[in-house]
Amino acid sequence: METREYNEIIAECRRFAKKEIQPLALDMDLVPALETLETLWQKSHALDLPVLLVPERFGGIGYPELCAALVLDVLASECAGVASVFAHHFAASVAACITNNKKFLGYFTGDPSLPAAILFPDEMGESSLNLHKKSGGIVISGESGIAGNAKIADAFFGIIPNGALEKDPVLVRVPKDLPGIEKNDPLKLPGLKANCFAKVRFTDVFIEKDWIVEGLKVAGGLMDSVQNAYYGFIAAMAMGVSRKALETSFSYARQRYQYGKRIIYHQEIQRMLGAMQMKLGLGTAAYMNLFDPKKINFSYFPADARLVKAFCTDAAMEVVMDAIQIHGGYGYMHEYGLEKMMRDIKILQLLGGQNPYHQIRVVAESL
Amino acid sequence: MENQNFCLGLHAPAPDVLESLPGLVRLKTVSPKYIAQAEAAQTLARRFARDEILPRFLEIDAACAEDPTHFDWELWRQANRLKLNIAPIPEKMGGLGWSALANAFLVEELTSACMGCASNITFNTFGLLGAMVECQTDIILNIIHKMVHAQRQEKQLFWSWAITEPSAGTDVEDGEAMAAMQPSTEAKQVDGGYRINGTKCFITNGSLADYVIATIPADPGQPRESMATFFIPAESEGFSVARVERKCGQKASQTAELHFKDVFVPDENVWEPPGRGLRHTREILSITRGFIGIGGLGIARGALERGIYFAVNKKIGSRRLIDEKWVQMAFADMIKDINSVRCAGINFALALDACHAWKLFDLLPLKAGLKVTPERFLLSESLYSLARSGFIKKAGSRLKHRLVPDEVIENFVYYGSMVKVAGTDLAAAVAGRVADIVGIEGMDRQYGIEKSFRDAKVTQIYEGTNQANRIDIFKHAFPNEENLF
Repeated sequence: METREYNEIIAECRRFAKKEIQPLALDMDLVPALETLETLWQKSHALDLPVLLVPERFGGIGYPELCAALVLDVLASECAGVASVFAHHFAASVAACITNNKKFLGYFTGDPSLPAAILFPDEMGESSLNLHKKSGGIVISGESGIAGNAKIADAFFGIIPNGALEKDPVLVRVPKDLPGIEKNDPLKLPGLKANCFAKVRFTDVFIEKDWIVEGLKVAGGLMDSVQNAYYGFIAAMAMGVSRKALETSFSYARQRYQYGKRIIYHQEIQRMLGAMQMKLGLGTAAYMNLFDPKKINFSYFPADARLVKAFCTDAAMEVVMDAIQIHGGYGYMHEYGLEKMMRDIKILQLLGGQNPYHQIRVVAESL
Repeated sequence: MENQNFCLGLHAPAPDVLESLPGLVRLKTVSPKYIAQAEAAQTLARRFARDEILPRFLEIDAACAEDPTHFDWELWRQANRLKLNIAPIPEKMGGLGWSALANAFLVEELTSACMGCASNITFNTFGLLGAMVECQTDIILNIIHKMVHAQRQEKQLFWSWAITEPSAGTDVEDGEAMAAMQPSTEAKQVDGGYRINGTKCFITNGSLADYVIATIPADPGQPRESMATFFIPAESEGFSVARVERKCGQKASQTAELHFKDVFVPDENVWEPPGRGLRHTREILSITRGFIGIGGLGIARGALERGIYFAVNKKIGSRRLIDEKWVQMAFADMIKDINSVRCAGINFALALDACHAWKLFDLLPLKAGLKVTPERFLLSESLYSLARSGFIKKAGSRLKHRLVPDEVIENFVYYGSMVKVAGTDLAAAVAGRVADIVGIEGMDRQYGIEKSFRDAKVTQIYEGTNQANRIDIFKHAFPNEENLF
């Protein structure tokens, strides 16, 4: 994919985000509305976002994961909650694409009216999803970890790490309304409020044969591939929010007078803006490097998606905290949108596992 | 999640003033009553926070999220019955007679439960603090009179201190900045007083206030030279509440935009004449900044205690989250930081008792006078008319300035700013870090951690942004920076 194409899709998404998401973002933060989200999802079909990652031969447009990350960056700059709905759908697409299975991927090209959700066996061992044979069929049972898109999802894509059926991981696609599927009460989180996070419980839900893909011998493992993309997506969203926070802070600092001059002429404000720009630049480079197919394979410490996610979301938190500080009291008021960024970033920091825990795991697993 | 044996912080069985600050043991041998009062204050505040605030704070937060003008009067009335909102007023006059030290413990305990609820209860002393600046006996007695009567009759009474303007936040708290500010308010001198016009924003309790204490320049072209302090009853014609803000956190405490349209303020309600307004602001800041720092400490402590509670109860396989070494290290680090800031905050409170406003309550003649004077006379009209005599007013003001001269005020802005920055940065850091430990499940609103996180940020902004506080710290530490070398 050429730079020009990337730029085109970024420009298109920016227009979409400004026109469709921005006017709704603050309202959705106060009162999340499923219908609004559904309408946005429908409108995103015009940009082919639902099939962005699905290969052309399966009816999608087959853009690389880097493109999805850039799209998320742009969407998150207007509302990280809405972006996170696409991020979870993209992660499910990544999993589905690995199967290379037309029937399986058919879900995406069948113009799904709603996004998909991905169910990870989460890092803290919360998920108890398992597959087993029952009455001549295969059933899925157990409870997922906390999953995004839990309420809106049209289908759940679950990764079962050590399926009872075989040794390799298994990917299973479960339509939303089967008997035996129960969504726990959604978490009442302070951020990403447009989305809905909950555990999903399955009680002996019968699975059709076409809904399972076995024997997925993926280099690096199915779960790692999907999870790495997911972490990269989270990092991209965090940078999108930071980008908006920095732009807003620059323009506010140019207008606001204190001590008889525009605050952008105060050294401390310049230092803060500089630090924000530094974190934004490095974070963006980090996630882009993660997805860059041509990346140089450094012999020491190759980029680890978990660390990129940890770095980008932690950096983003520092950026938005400074952005609020530059705005003073206005930064804390809902209508300015900055305090929402802080709440959104807090949840991005925690999505997919705690950052300090990731730092530990990266080292512990290398031993 | 239920754990009956949880005994940290607000759930601790006995006061732990001396355990957390062992240095005070020495002080106790010299002033046993002083420390006993602080211990009693901690016990009462802790019980109130645990029994009254904790069961309700999430509900209040949710109601205020829905409607920012919602106010929980029931909680306020309960605090009022215990006199927590008039704690510094001498006991003989109807208050609790609590020292700054006792008040510091009150603030720490209440804010550890809910910063918004704590503000509603403790910020009400603004009226008293504002009145004490010039120590004009009639003003002070009048304010105390109003506060004590309202308390006795369970009548709502709120004071609000209106400083910030849409175009000036930091500018209204610093002399150099004020000289260059573009005011949004103006007080025009007219026959018998002033006419006030303009807008004040982000005013705590502004929407509930019965009385507003506002700093407004008489000449917008020369704000520093003409800044004055006005005492404005909310029923004044032309005064209105434009709106109540929808904030990120501390929702239980209302923040309002106030409009003044040709509001007339008679001369007797000018608390500080033009040119003295900045000093008035600085004097209030010299007390309040330190208490905001202690509030930050409370938020941090509340977040930590909630985090520990979650980590003790959260199972990861066969282990608990708190069994993880990285979690233990992080908690240890936070305990260390919280304790360091508590030492600074308590030292500030001790200093307030020794050298600032509270010293006035401690004057031997005043104490002796209060002891022998019958209670009904203290709040009577006759004492009030006596206090209005020019001689007494002047004597009170002169005594106050001798005891708490301008240098002391600036020293306390310095100490207070340090406590404020340390405490509020601590609040934001600890609340964020606890969230990083408990993960997404722990951010479910039922655990209160996400609320601590939302509440913390604004403490770094109000009472002067932490940047403005740092400017004060540096200026005071190096008044002649060009002569440093």
